[in-house]
Amino acid sequence: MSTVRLENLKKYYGTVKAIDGVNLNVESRSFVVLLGPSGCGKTTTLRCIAGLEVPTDGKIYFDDRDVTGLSPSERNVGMVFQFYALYPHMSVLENITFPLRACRVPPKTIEEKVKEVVQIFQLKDLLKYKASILPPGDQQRVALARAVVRDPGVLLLDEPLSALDEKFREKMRSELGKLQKRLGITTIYVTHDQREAMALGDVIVVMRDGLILQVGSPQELYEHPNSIFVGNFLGTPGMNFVECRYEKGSLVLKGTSYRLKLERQDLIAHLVPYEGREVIMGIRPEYVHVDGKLKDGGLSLEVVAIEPAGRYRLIDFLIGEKVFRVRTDWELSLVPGRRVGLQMREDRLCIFDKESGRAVVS
Amino acid sequence: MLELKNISKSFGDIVAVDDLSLRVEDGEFFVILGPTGAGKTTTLRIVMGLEKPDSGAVYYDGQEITHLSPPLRNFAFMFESHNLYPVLDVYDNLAFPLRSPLFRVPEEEVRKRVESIAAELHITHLLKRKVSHLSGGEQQRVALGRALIRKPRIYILDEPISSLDYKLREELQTEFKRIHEEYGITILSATHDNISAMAMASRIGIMERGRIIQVGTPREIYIDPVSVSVARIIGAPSMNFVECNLAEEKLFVEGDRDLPIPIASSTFRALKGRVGEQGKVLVGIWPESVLVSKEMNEGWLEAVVENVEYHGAERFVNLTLGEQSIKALLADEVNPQHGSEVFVNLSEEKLYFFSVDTGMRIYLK
Repeated sequence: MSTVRLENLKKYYGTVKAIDGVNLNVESRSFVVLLGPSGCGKTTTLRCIAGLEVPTDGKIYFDDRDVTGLSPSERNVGMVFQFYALYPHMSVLENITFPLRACRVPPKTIEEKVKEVVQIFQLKDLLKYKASILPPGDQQRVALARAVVRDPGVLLLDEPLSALDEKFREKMRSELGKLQKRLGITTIYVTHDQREAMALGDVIVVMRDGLILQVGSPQELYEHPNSIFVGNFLGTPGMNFVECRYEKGSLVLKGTSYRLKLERQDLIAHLVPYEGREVIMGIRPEYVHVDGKLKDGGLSLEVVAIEPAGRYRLIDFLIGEKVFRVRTDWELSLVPGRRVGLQMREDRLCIFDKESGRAVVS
Repeated sequence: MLELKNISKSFGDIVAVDDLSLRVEDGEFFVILGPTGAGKTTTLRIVMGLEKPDSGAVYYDGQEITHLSPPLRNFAFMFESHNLYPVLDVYDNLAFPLRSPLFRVPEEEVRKRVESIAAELHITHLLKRKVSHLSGGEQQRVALGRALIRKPRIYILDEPISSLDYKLREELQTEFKRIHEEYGITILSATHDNISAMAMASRIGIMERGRIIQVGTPREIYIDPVSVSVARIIGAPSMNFVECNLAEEKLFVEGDRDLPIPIASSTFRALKGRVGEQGKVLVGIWPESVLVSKEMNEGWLEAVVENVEYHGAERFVNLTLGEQSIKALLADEVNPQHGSEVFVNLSEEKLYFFSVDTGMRIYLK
């Protein structure tokens, strides 16, 4: 399977900089997700890798081979898009064999390849049907089968699940993750849905405004975001952010009288330049503990709203004007209006610079 | 209180709503949750007065309104496509319902109400902008404002946020919930999105093939689903279903390998009496109830790791158990690799039993 390397890739449309200097290494057999809000440049990046767009500047390498000037068909990539783009008048079988017939693969080989993908994607009962009459989920399976049938070096997927119903998407997501591990094809996947990115990616590339903001494993990005943007974008819900003033080893939460005395020496060391200034504290909803008992000098807040989410609940509080969310189990009896104690896990605190939004410590 | 009694509605041969009865209490946020084609939208349209039911009746506060025209019901609607007027600015869009000849609200009062609702929804800075120049999320807020402004008796929302970006959906779902609680309004909503339904609803009605098959709080439905189809539609990730056989005083995972789930003999006998000759039963278990370990313990079953899904606050692992797939919530210390062997515990008190024939829950007590 191929590796993919992007070197200072740029794509401008007139004065619009869709991507503006992207550098990325994709390891062989890995599953890399390009994640970001619409307009961040993720799809343009993928289209450049596919050869559907010619970059304004920069180079694209597959296994150290410069493919920047090659046409899509010379790159040996498999592609699947949000709308499956099957040939509606062809049967499922004809759709799957089309790329092989187009490359004049011998019939014997075609037969073997088809047998293999039909088994992987469980398409046996669908082969004779016209593609256009299949339900969306089945069409997407056929599109995936067609993309992998000719052993592509790289598989490129652009929001392949976003046209599906919520429940079905969850199922297809699991299927896709298992499949990629089984086939071991280097995969680059574009989405705006952070849940998909976290569930599928070995590596997530967060993009904004044509630039890469952060690259790392889902866990690295989730636990150690390098900016407020990444901390907020990842997670269901995103990270909580609280304005604080840093004073002599303590964070004073704005809108409360609560002082969080810091024990962690690394935090204190990084915060030296911020003495007497405002910083943003970040903490994920699951790293705050809710306690029925109130402690002197502790943080206590009133429950504003409760959102059940199956096995757990999200409890909304207000700090100043801003919602502060905590994830808890169902042990404690909570109702809106009840005042409870909250303890934040200091080992999970992140601190951000208020002006730049960049992490001071995360 | 809104009440639907024995409502049926067909379009030609297709039965959209099938003898449906439902009650929405004042101040409630009631969400109809079901797959595409379940009849949710038709039900809402009957409540609004946009469709006439073939039989059955709609009541509001005890008074029958089945044949009352939509404007006289004073219900507010909000659809997935929000039908704002693209040529008007945000101010005029918000003011539109108040300027209707039905209400004749004086302009001074209109201005006050527009400004107050705009402030409430944080869209004051958009008032002079044309709707067509707004982002999807901003348009959705304007649509919400327009529904809220005339103080209707009930708000009816059809897939209000499911077309939006995921992050935005999360934000608006919190906003709906907050507005519902702050204004104390009554909301009837329909969606296929179980996550937002769970988060927003006071009560959920699960709808399937024209019928409401279970009503309860999100928590009640989660811990006590009455059928496979209910269990399938709620929860993210979904409940696991494992096909099993009853034999030799044990519950075997179906497949060619010997994988017995330990159960008490009283459970075995009770199940045996309920599932018929073949002894087949569908076993459900939530992913968080499946325990995973690298070590073999008494009664634990062997499984093979497919892949690990990271969900932020937690990780799930997809496993192959015999020939079937199951998903389990991972404890922090477990870190399995693709292709490796692990052991799982399906503890009896965490199991849900369903009939393979009807899909209905088998209650043993």
